[in-house]
Amino acid sequence: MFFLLRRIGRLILTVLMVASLVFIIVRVIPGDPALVIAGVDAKPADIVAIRAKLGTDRPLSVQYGDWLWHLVRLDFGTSFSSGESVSHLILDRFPLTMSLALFGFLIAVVVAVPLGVVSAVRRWSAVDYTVMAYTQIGLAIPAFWLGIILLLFFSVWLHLFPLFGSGGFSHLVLPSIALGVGRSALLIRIVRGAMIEELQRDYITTARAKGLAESRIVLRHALPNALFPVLTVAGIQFGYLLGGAIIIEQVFSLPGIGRLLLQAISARDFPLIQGGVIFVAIVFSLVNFAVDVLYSVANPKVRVR
Amino acid sequence: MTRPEVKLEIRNLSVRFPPLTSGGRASCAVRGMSISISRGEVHALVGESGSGKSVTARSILRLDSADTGVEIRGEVLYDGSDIYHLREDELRSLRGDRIAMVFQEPTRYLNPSLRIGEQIGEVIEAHMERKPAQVRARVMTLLDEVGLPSRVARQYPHQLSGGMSQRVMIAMALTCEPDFLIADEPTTSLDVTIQKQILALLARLRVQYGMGVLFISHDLAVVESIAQRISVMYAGRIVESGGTGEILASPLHPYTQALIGAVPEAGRRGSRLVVIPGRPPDSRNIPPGCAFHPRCPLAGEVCSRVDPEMRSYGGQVPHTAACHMIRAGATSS
Amino acid sequence: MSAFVEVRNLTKRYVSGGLLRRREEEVLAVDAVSFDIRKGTTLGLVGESGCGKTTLARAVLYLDPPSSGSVSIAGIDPARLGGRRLRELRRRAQLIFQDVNGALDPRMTVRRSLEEALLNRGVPRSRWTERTRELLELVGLDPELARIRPGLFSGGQRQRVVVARALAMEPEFLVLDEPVSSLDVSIQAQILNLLGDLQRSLGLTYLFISHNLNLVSYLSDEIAVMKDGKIVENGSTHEVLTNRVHPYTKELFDASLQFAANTRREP
Repeated sequence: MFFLLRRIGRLILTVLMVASLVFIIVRVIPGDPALVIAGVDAKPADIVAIRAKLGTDRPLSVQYGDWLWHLVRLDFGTSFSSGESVSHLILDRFPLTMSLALFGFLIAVVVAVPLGVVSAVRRWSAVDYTVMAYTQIGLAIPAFWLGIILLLFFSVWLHLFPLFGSGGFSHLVLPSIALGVGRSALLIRIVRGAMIEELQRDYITTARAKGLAESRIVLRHALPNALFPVLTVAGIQFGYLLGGAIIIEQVFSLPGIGRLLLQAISARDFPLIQGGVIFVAIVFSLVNFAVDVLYSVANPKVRVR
Repeated sequence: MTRPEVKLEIRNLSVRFPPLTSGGRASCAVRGMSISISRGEVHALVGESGSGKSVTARSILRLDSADTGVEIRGEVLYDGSDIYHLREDELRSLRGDRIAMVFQEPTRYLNPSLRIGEQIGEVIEAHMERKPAQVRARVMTLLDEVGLPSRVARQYPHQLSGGMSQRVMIAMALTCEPDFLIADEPTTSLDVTIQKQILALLARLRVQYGMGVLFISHDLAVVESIAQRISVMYAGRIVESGGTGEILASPLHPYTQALIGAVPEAGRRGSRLVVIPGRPPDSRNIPPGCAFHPRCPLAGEVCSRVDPEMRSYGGQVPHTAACHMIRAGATSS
Repeated sequence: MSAFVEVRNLTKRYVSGGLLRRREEEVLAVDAVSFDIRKGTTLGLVGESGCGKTTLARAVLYLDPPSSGSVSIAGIDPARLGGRRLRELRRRAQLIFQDVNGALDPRMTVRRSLEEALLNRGVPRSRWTERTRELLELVGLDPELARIRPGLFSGGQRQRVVVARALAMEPEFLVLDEPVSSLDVSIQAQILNLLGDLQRSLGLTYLFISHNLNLVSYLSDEIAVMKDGKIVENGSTHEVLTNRVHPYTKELFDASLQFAANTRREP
């Protein structure tokens, strides 16, 4: 119980810190939302009127208090540029970003676990060197560049996948791969390292002495224990994927949170920027929280103590 | 079912590990040791840390995988045929089935994330029976055999005490009623009251199953209580071997004598313990001639040149020792 | 004359719980323990893992002050001391424990480990070289080894360095918590002989803690048997071994395999 309360406290603290930080940052960067809305030819009086309407003419401390007060009631305000509710705008776009991150993660795990295991079991073999070369390349290539290459190859030349836009699973395949490759490279290294460590443990000697098949020793004994360290980094990895998804949306012209945020930034749409960032922070915190809970459920040692 | 004639015989076993760094020296952990165990007998292998006794235990079933670079030479004869000539799958069907093992720190030698029931059950599945109901029934019988309640099957290793974990290890080893049990310091990490229970359990099971036991230990008091034969190992080789009573009452090798004299006893309060000067040699740098000569009080000129051979000194159970300095004509009582 | 070390009703409680535990539980690690140790003698404290013997050792030296009860070392009650005077008492009473590897800083040469102790003791710098030499000779180590880092040492040599470092403080009372448990038999004998010699030549008082009844009875003038935080039997070694009043002492005695090859052979 105590553990749960502490984690929730930490989550709230994180969100508050992010809220304050993003509030400061959007106001430090140059650019006045009123100017953007009014356009180039606007008269000074119009601009003042718009400022009053948006509330940006009030002192910063009042704006800050107002923003926090609304935030506590889970009210993100309304967008300056469209006048729509920010939470509505975000919830509309979020499923796409989330599925992109999830698929990317799924691809990373599906690739990483078998390759990491094979690499560890056949250490210093040709297979291992090949896999290690893959991780080297995977870590070096930026996801957006890989996205462009994938687009060129599979969409422009082979016409296997749509070039841009959203509307179904086929639109998600290439961006998910572009996202997943880099993460899989990192996960392979973690799985490989953890497997090598586990295979040297004493209980593996016991398993050998019991006359178990090598496949059972690797898959049933070593692997589950090796996945614990993978699980601990999974939360952070997912954060990376969420960030990566925001960028990759640009490459594939997908209408997710990333595009929404970029538009909001260029329009100096303060509530939308703030809302978007906070939302991503909350999701990231929740995912990490879920991973922690999962870890304590999966690991019998943590579960009881 | 019992075949008392079956023997486990290790002949001239040598185990080398490659150097840790390039340009370093290879480690000669075992240097031509021989030992034999008959069914129904407990043969103790005694020595200090680094003497090569645990490496011997692991090498019998070739538990160190080849990618460690380990080099194993010699023969391990089980029922007359050399284990080292078996294919990997044939060796696997021997492990845990005909020859089983128990290790020193049971908590580290059990998989922390599998339930005890599965860890015992998988031995049954690997060698005997795959039907879930029968596997479960056999697990319960085994737990009962080693004096554990059936709820243990659903528990994880960290929920068990050291003594309970060692009982689980023993249950796993007993699964297929093996001919031989290799027990590597099975009671060293346990409290004395628990140690007594485990030793009693092992002694009972040895009789009940007619197992031969290779009992590895550094503790002479433990060995005295359980073994019929003792072999003393030093620097990767057996230096003296014989019946327990004879070895302890009239040891011939100066190392064995010092080892016995070094044990503190209540009855000798205040008297000085026998001390072996120096420390056991590094397996990467073993002295020439008799490996014990730099620490030996009796060492003569020949000892630093010539490696002594095992000679026989009579005895009911053949008493053998490898030392140049044993008086000519000495026999054990 | 009163005892050199006097412990009365020493109790140490811990509160366990937290994280997922529903309620906090109080654990009595040491439960109203009393004993005396006469100057220049050894009290052997024997018990199995978890009986509270290490907790007791730390409480006696006020490294972990007791929850209640009193301790007096050389007539001084550490509870009434603060700061400098407590440090002075800790100098006179040193702790040596089982983990020979953790006890020494692997990056420090033997000389530096000893000099650190000499500095604490307030020995003038001009005497350090001489004193280091004396200490190493006292524990039977070649003074040439002072230049070496403990990483290259065997367990026995390390334990000798640890003893030398404790002796640098010129203590009168040593608490030895399983000092030889991790050592091989032949090395163990070297350390046990050394401890016996040091007691005779320097008049040290020992509290010797071990799970091994044979070891304790070999070394001690008096024995205290500990179980579940309590001392269940206490008396001279001979008395405890022959009478064995408490059932647990009997159990411990029966379980401790009597290796008597030597006593049998040498009448």
